[in-house]
Amino acid sequence: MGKVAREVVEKAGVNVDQLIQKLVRAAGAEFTTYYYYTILRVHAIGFEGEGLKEIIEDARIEDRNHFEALVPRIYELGGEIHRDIKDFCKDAACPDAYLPSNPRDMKALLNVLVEAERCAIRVYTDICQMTAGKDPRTYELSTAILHEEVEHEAWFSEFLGEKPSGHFRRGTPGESPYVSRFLVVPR
Amino acid sequence: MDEGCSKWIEVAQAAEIPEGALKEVSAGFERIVIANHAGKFYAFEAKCPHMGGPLGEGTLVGAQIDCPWHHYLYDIATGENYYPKSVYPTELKHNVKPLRTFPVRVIDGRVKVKLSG
Repeated sequence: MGKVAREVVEKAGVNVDQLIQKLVRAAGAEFTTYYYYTILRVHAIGFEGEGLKEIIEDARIEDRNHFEALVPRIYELGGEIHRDIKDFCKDAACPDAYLPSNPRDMKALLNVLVEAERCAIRVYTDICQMTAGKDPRTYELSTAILHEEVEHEAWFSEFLGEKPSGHFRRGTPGESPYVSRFLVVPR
Repeated sequence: MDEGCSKWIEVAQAAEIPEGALKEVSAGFERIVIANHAGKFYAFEAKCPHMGGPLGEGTLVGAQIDCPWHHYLYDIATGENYYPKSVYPTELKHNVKPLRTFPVRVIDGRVKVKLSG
């Protein structure tokens, strides 16, 4: 733990234990999303599924990057992730992104994906609002993750025909243009 | 004449709860959240049916309440779960419990809630 790192956040008026709880839940959501998006990605098959593969792959790897970026901050603040992975997953900030009843229904698959990203946006908006002006380090990290989650939502909603997302392909899969600078472990 | 008025409990002043805001209150033995959405008041149980999250600390997303713990979304008028029930596979939908809601009315700027039973 960073003793002063935690103290300055407390002195700024943030309930650090509550913040840690939110960060741990967020990390759980990223970890479980990586797992469930793996399943969703392998089921994106056929003509309809082909176009989805790239964006699911990018979102999947970037959400794993989000987990990697969150973990150091949790420990810096004096927290820890659950020692039992089952508890970690149960406490995840977003519901599990299960494969739909009909795995060949690409629209249903897309709805799972877009709602998962919308949940993530709510998670990080909440953390940003809690830390804005008080904890610059967590705020910057949460904002970076939020940027990528907003892009993920835009990709999936575009596929649903909602509106143009302005999406251009990533240079490399799972590039994480906003979060990569926080990554301690190389991608 | 106010029918069943003994069951209506005054819980807050309407002016205390501006549009988009939530307030957790006690009504008898119940902890309830009062929400103001688009100038209309709604009341629902204070604990999320999923894992007991404090809905009074949640966020209104349109006419839905977003639980701060695991971000389940419930319709504040009907109590029906929107997320994740709308995307869950069929065999898991029944596991998602609805939110208990309560009738609300505002008389002379006072918010009253009717408890069941």
